[in-house]
Order: sequence, then C-alpha cells, then structure tokens
Amino acid sequence: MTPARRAWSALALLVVVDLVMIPDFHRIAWVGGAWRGLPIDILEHGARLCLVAIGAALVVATGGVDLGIGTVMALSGALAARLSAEGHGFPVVASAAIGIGVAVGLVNAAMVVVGRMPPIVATLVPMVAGRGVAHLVAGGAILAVDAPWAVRLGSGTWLGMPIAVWVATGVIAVVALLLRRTAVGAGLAAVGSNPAACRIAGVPSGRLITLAYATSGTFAAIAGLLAAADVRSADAHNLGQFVELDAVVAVVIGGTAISGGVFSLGGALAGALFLQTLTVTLHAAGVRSDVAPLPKALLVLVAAVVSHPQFRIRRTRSAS
Amino acid sequence: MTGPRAPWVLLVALLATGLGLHDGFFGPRAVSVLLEDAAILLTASLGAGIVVAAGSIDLSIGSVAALGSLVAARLSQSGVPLPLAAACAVAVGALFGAGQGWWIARRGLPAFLVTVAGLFAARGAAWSITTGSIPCGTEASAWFDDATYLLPMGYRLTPTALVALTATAVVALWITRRPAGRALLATGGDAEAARLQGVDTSSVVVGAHAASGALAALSGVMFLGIAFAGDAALGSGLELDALAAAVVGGIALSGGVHPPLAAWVGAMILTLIKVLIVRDGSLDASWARIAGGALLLLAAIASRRPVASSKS
Repeated sequence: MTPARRAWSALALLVVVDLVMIPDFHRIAWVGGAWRGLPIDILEHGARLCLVAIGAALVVATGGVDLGIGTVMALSGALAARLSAEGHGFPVVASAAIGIGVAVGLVNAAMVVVGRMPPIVATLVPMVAGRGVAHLVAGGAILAVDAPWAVRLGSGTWLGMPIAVWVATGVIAVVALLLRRTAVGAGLAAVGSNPAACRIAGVPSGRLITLAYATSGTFAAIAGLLAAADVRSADAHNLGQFVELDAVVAVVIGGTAISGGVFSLGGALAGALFLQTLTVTLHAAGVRSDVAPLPKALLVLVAAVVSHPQFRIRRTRSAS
Repeated sequence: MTGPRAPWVLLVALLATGLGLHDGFFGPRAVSVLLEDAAILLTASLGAGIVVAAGSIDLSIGSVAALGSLVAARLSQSGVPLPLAAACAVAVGALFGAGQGWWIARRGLPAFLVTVAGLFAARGAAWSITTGSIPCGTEASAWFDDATYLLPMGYRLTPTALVALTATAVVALWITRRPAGRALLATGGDAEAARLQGVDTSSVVVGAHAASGALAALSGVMFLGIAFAGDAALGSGLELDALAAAVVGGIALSGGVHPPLAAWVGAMILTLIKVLIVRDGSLDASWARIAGGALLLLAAIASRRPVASSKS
C-alpha cells in the first residue's frame, strides 16, 4: 500500500469511527441555502490546513522545510486587516496579502538557493522577524476585519458549500494539474532525492526550489486571508501560530519523506483532513482538551516510524 | 566580519551603546536585572546549542520548560523543599530528552519529527497537570523574594541568574575540557568519521538530548523565581528563540562547531537588543524581533560551509 493510500485509509477509518461514535456525525442538513453539519465544518475549517500542507509538501519534497508558514499567515492577515480598515477594496487587499506571501517565499528561496543556508535556519529568519513585522503592520492591536469581502470569505457559501472550501479546492486543483501536466513534480522530487545528480543532469534546481518556497508562501498568505476572514479579526500574535508544525505533520502522515525526494499531494491532503477530523473527533469523544496534544504526538511518532526507510528495511529483513 | 569573534564584537558594541545612552547601565541594579532577564533564554539556549553541536535539533524545549515549571511548582506547593522539587523537574526533563534521543539515535528517526512529537507530548503532559498556573509553595516564594548573592562593589545576583551562569560555565568547561565534549563535536561534525574512530555516536546524541531536556526543564524552574508560579502556557516558541540565540552566538546548524560561550553570547545579544529597544522607548518592541531575525540571517550566512564540503 502506498503511503498516500495509507493516509486516505486512516482518514476513512477515522470517519467510520466517527459515524459510529458521534450520533450526529452523518447528519448533513440543507439550512438556509447551504449544507450544514459536522463533515462540512471539518472541510470548512480544514481548508486552511489543506492549503498550507500542499505548500509544505512541495517544500519538503525538495528536502527543505518551511517554518515561516504561520508567520506569513499572521503577516497576510494583519496586512489585509490594515488595508481593509484604510478603505481599500478586495482586489487591493488580496493582492497585497498574497504579494507579501510570495515575497517571503522568494526571500526564503534566496537564502536557501543563493545563500546556501540550511532551510531550517533560513525559514527561521522570517519566523523570528515576521511576527515583529506583523505587529508593526497591525499597530500592536488586534484589528477587526469586517469588510464585506471578509464576511463573504469567512461565512459565505456557493452552491451550498463554504467559500473557503471552494478556494482551497480551486487552488489545489490548479497545483495538481500543473504537477501532473508538467515535469515540475518530477523535478521537485529529483532535487530532493539527489541534488548533485540534478546539477549534473541540468535540472534547474534553483528555479524549482524557488517555485516550491514561493508556492508555500502564497498558500500560507491565502490561508491567512481565510483565517482572518473566518474570525473577522487579525491577531498578529496568535494568527497561524504553530500551523507550520501542523502542516509538516500532515505532510508526513501523507507519506512525504521529511528527508525529501518523495512526495504526495493527495497524501498531504489526506493528512491535513485527518488532523482536522481528529481534532473534531477528540472534541466530540470528550477527550479533555488538556491532553489533546498527546494523541497528536503519538500520531507524529507513528507516522515517522512507518514512513522511515529503515523501518521498511527492517521489516523486509525480518520477513526474509 | 565573520568568524568566532564577530558575536563578541557585537556584544561589546551593544554594551557600549547601552553605556553611552543610559546612565548606570553597568550599575548594580541594571546588571542584576539584565542577567535575570536573560536567565531563561540563556539556559534554554545552552541546551539548544549542545543538541545543534551534536548535529541534531530539539524543537520541544519550550514545552519541556512548561512541564518542568509545573512539576517543580506542584512539588513545592505540596511541601517538597525547593532544591528537591527543582531536581525532580530537571530529572523529568532529562528523561524526556533522553527518550527523544533514543528514538533519534537508536531508531534512526528524523530529529525534526521526533522533537515535534515531543513538543506536542510535553505540552499535553503539562496541560494534564493543569491548563492554568500553579503558585509555588510559600517558603519557596519567600526565598526567591529575598535570596540574592552579594558580589564585590555592591553587585548582586539573583538565584536564577546564578544558576544560569553556573550552567553556562559547566557547559563551557565540559565542551573544552572533557572527552565527552570532544565526542560531541566529533559526532556533530561528521558522525560517520566519529563512529569509525570509536566514538559511541548514539550515546552522544542521546546524551545531548538528555542535556537539552534537563536544561529546558531548568529554564522552566527559573520561571518560578520570576513569577513565583509554574505556568502551562510558558515557553511557547522558546525553542526557536533558543535556537536563534545559539546560532547568533556562533554555533553552526550543520553541527560540530560550538564556541564554549556561544549560547551565553547569543542569549545576551538578543536580550540586550530587547532591553535597549525597550529602554529607548521611541521604537516599537516588535523591532527587537526584527533585529533578532536579521542577526540570525547574518550568523547563518557567516557559519555556512564552503560549497565544496557542503553536504548534499
């Protein structure tokens, strides 16, 4: 079974458990022109994690890691709130927010590609500095975001589904199509598995790595917009905190090797939805919120053990 | 300017700036407050530095600090003398760290993932004690309130500052004087070569993580000296500040490099920047983080390896 399929199976299993355990889980009702219910909630609130997990998967595929995701969310949210409060319309707000995401991604890529810095330090730079900038942008306050675009983006629906779900679906579909139709996906994995061979074979490693970080920054910025719209406010301190870790966890659950070289978009998607469903499940199962991080810890460890090449080698050895 | 002297030059420059801008910057009170401010970050960065020098990474430091502070506070509240409570908390941290080290060194799992799991696990364990804060015992509070150690010329040290400085000295001596210190740097520099020379690299990695866990818990215990309570929300993001301090101090993330006082210099630089910006008052405190990020960038550029020997 491929790792991605394992992640989808785990998700399916969790959903079955939920169907049995949570009495209202299967109840999806048509209320006021939109579907409502627990699964819809999972999709709506999981949309952001799905987006950043896809971005993180591309970066991890190249053998890197993006610790700046949460900070970019805070930056984009704060910038959107500020511009919105100054009376700018959605096109300006959105392009500025996404622009800052692209910019941070490009800076990360420059540090990794040109500066030859280890990705973990390179992306630690925006993580340390970024929230400071977000505070400055927000003027040290939690800004309210109550423009019409935020209301639509945060709680609007289209064809019965939350807008956030449509945004995530659209963006992910474009990425999936690009990776399938072009050699970019193969290139990313190649860069991650053997940079030296790539250099010799003439693979444009630098451009591919840049693309990965820029995409991750862009998706983090979109997730920041969605998060700010969801709660109608931008809190430079808390918005997106630790999302980068959740994204990495989702990516690893989905079978992308943390050392790079192998990646699965579908797996990352399954991993993100699994994490979101797990949160809902634990909550519904009455697991005290005070121990909620523990199952996550276990999950990371299991995913790490199962996905580790040595584990597979050991298993095949003991089988033979 | 790069090289091992750069952080020291920066530190001296910052101190000189402080002296130029503010009267009594080196006065007994100011020095005492500065060292107290730096104590938690300093202790945490000692651990981060050791782990990074061993070629690994520890992202669980902040959560372990919270766990340590709660264990010490709970014990001291129920009447256990403070030194014993602190020792228990440090032991918990060391065990936790050793456990992570075991998964990394003996099972071959990526350090990043194992310590992210540790981050969640320690925070969960802390939350299962309490989600709020626990005041430490009255005796301990009274002691923290009073205890200072007199130095010549009216200078004083608070217990937390004294412990942090002692830990710094111990780590520096350990790295420079003990075989274990050389084994640590050999492992971080090139694990394969170290193994071939007879270094038990797995034990080194387990030991480094145990030390990091112990120091993280110790930094949590120090929080008792400042707030007279343990707190479940303590230390969120501390692991990254500690990592930043270690790198700014001159510890290379590629491993194998650990100037003896690197963590101290790094932590002092980051703390001084914050103190100077806050005391100046005209700049928003957020600038301290931005300056920290810029320094991290410079330090990382300075410490990178030349192309030829860079690991692929």
